[in-house]
Amino acid sequence: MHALVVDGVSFSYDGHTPILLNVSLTAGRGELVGIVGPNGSGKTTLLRIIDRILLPSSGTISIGDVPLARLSRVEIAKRVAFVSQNGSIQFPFSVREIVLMGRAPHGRGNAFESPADRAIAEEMMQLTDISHLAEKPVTALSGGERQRVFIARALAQQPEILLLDEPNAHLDIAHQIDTFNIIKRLKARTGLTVLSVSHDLNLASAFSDRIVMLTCGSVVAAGTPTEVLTAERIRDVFRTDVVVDNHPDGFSPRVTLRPESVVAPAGKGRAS
Amino acid sequence: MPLIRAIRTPLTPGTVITVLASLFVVLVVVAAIGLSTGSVAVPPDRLLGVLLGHGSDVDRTILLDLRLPRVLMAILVGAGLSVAGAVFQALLRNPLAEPYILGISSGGTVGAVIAIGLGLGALLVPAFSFAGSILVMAIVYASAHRRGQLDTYALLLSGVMTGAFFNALILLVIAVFNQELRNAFLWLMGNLSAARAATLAVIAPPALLAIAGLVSMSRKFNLISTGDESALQLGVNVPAVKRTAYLLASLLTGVVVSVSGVVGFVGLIIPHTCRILFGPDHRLLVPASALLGGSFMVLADIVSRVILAPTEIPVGAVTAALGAPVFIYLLRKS
Repeated sequence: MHALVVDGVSFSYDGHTPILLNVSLTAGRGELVGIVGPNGSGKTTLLRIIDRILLPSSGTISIGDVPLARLSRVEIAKRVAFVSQNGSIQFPFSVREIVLMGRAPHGRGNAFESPADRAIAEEMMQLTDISHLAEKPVTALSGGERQRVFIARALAQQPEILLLDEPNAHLDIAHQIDTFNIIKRLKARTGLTVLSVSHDLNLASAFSDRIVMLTCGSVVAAGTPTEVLTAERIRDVFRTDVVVDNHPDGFSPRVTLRPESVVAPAGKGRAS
Repeated sequence: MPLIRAIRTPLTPGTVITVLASLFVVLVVVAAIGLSTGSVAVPPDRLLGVLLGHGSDVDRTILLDLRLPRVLMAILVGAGLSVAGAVFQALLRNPLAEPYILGISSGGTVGAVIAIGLGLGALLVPAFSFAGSILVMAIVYASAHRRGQLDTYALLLSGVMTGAFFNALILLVIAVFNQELRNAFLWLMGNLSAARAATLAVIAPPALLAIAGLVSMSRKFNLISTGDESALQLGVNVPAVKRTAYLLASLLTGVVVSVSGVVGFVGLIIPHTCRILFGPDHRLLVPASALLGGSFMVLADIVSRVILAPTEIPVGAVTAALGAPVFIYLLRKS
């Protein structure tokens, strides 16, 4: 049984222009699936549909063997956590308060968090290296620190499925690798399933068990990093010439950009 | 912004009880000052005597028939506007939102003066006032919506403009029904001289129920104040919670302004002060705003009665004098 099944999902904002077209994918328990693709390929929309922030125009999504449509908002929040590209927060909640909010779906009806909730929040702050910021207002943090706070909040939800929308957008390289190592440990320990949207093909290659590549709302390839990240496919999908070789430290492919290598749309020859 | 709040996180029931009990003591002391102060000073021993069922007839009349309803009404108005302010700020994610700035107080007052002018019963006055508040809330909300997003400046501008329009309507309605209404000045700048025990009996139950309802939703306000999508992700049924909260906060504003008229800035000053003192967690912020708002309004009413005694100035003038600088400070920071 798959932890997550997306079956033939299509979506459009206006009823005419498809953002996603018949997208199917699966993710096993404890698997990290990287989702890559150019801007506007529907990656974020796909995550929002999986968290039922948006409703698909057709197709179904199941978590375990339960159709998502049959779950209430709270039941979804107990199973799925989403680290999105966050907007600004107006009020000076402390880091600890934000992370504790991740416990909200589990303590429904209670006005306050239980000691167990607090212990989980402290553990997640430690894991994400933000314990020293616990009393700081989130409004006073740098983008990278704030990103780690929202990752800690999502982990505090103790979800079965973690959706990450460009989790490394504001992180320095040490914290990028740190974050993925934490997630790797958690998925090994708890069977957490992770879908991570990333523009960084090398990070996706290094940490994903499988990669799904989207373009124009459709899946063009799905498989291991080695199967998906080929120079030819990247050239087709991203219109960019790259060199793909084996990473010297392991088995994952390494993508090296070539400056001034943007490829013109088909039929117009090569740019610059 | 440095965190200068007085309490550490996480918030516990013990902390909430301690803070609220302290604020309640402050409220009782301020209310006693409010009862003692006026054209006839009633010292504490005579005040206590009357409250224990003794005292002279004159003292009993002054305290129980005139000042007690007025002090209780001040508490209700201050608590109501402060809670409504804290809730609008959470729902709109904007520390500048409050019933006066958004024009909701003016909408409610128009409803009240129409009902009074038409000679409708005491029960219909707050009902009309509620309808006026809801109408303005809907107008302001709809005009500030741009492609699914609320624009802060459009929200404030449309609130101020709608408020100005409804203030003009207050003047118009009063001109039409001249005889039945107090003077326009008092409705436009707020005044508590109309507070009587009978009015209080009509206003208090819906106001207290609305406050209780909003306090019970305060954990969800924490999540919504970090973003609608973020609250959805954490399991909150955002549309349902927002609908209920807008209704209750508009009801609260409507019923209190049906007696006080337009009292500005209370819903801005009090939640802002509570946020500085106790942090932004609505489980403490909302009830603390109710208690501190009650105390603040009693004090503002005392100032309005004594500063130019025997002439009484509108209580809204006192709150505006304090609130306008706070608004400008917050606007510059946002």
